[in-house]
Amino acid sequence: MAVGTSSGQHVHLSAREVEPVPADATALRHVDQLDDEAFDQFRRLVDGDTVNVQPAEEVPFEHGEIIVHTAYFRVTVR
Amino acid sequence: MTESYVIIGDGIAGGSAAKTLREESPDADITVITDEGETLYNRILIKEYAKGKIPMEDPLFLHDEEWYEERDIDLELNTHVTHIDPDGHVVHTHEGDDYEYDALLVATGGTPRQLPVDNSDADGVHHFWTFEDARSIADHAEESEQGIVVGAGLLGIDFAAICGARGIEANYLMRGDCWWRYALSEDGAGIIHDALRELDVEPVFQSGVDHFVTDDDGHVTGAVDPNGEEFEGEFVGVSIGLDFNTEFLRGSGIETDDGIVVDEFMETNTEDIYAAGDITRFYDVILEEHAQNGSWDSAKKQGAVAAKNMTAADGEAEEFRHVSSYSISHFKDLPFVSFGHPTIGDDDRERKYSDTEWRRLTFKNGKLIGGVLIGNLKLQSAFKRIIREERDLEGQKDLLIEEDFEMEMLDAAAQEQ
Ligand SMILES: Cc1cc2nc3c(=O)[nH]c(=O)nc-3n(C[C@H](O)[C@H](O)[C@H](O)COP(=O)(O)OP(=O)(O)OC[C@H]3O[C@@H](n4cnc5c(N)ncnc54)[C@H](O)[C@@H]3O)c2cc1C
Repeated sequence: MAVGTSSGQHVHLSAREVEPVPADATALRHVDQLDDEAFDQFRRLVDGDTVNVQPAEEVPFEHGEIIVHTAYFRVTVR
Repeated sequence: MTESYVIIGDGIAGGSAAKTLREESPDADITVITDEGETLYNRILIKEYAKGKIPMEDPLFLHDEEWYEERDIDLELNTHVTHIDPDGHVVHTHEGDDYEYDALLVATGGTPRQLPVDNSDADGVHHFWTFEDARSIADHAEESEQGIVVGAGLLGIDFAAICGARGIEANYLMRGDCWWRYALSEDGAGIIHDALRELDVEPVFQSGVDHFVTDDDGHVTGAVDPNGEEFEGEFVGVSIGLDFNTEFLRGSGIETDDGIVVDEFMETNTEDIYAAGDITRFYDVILEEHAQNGSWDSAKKQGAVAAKNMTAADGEAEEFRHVSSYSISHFKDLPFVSFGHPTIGDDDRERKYSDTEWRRLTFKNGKLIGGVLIGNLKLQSAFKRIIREERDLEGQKDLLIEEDFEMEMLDAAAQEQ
């Protein structure tokens, strides 16, 4: 779900556990590669706070990228 | 005149330095020399490859050959630097080639240390640092049934996780009473021991290795500990620390002290020579003393800071000011992070909140300098911020181990004082 605003496009983020890693996965990051802000956002997404809308240019994740933490999480940016 | 920069090592420190150098200096000659046979890959994800969780290799490479071509960076693979001549500003390699530099970055990291015991180099005894290691570990683990893990630290536990993921029943031989005893008490380590047991990896305390046993073909079949007890296993993983790759600096005058000594600008004692990454013993501006750090984010940032300072005009140097973190992500629903400097300090606080949640914080001169969180990482960024801000916590340390600690509690306490 993309939400248009006057200041630019806003996007909706969510994270879902995936196992095994899909064979077509192209972007993978370990959680230690996230900076503190991205880490906090990732943690909130994983904790089920899936309603997360923010300006597209500020999103620290790629659509479809997999973050390796205590499980594998696929981040969706729409 | 065109500047020329040489980087030795293409790990994350060297790789991030190459990227920053090109951004800062669009016309410079840049050469990256590595004795590995492949371009920069994601060293912190190769354990997942070894576990069999990431079956493909491509997404684990961070730079392909095109990356270097597009940036006009010369990459010399399979090239080992044997000597540096700081007066002549020249680097010599094993093939007799010379590379001249105006500024040099040494980012050569370390090599896993072997146990000083009989048969420690037998077939089937693995050490883990490179992608090549990961491939051979993966191949061997796939066909193994019994394992032995040695090294009760952040890297040793990767071998335990590989055994767990591959269905290898293993004994994890530790010298003391608990895993990572330099940073964890028995309370905290107990949570990790339970998690290891769930992976079919049994911690064995007050143990270690006196020697390995091999068959007639020289393949390891077990380990005998200093108590004389024998453990069977055809798959052995050893992670007891790193020897830093500094041999080629011998005679160069560059100061070393179990690593290369650098200031907060990543500069060595020798003009025009910088160092970054695991290899450094750097001046930590928060600790106010020299320190070491073996983590991805720290190596990446040090590479970038070094590159900026290699190209900076006089008086514009950038200092390395960073609080690193290192996670263990092997246990389902049991997150773990260590941050800052959890093994040093003059004071500490710890508390266990449940069977799966524990926190320990270390302090120096009244300031927070590091810690370990198990089971709940909600406060990871807040604690790192407190370290960065160098808050005076005298009289408030206990607040930080309150289960429901929030930053505002510190502000309120400060106002009351
Ligand atoms: C299995 C494993 C798991 C890890 N997990 C984590 C984790 O979860 N989180 C975390 O933060 N960190 C983790 N680390 C640590 C992290 O990977 C390192 O701190 C980081 O990669 C260090 O980067 P570096 O560039 O300083 O050194 P390195 O990556 O070691 O790079 C040094 C390079 O220099 C080359 N070299 C050495 N000597 C010479 C020479 N004379 N001539 C030419 N080339 C030379 C080496 O071959 C190597 O390619 C892990 C490490 C390993 C091995």
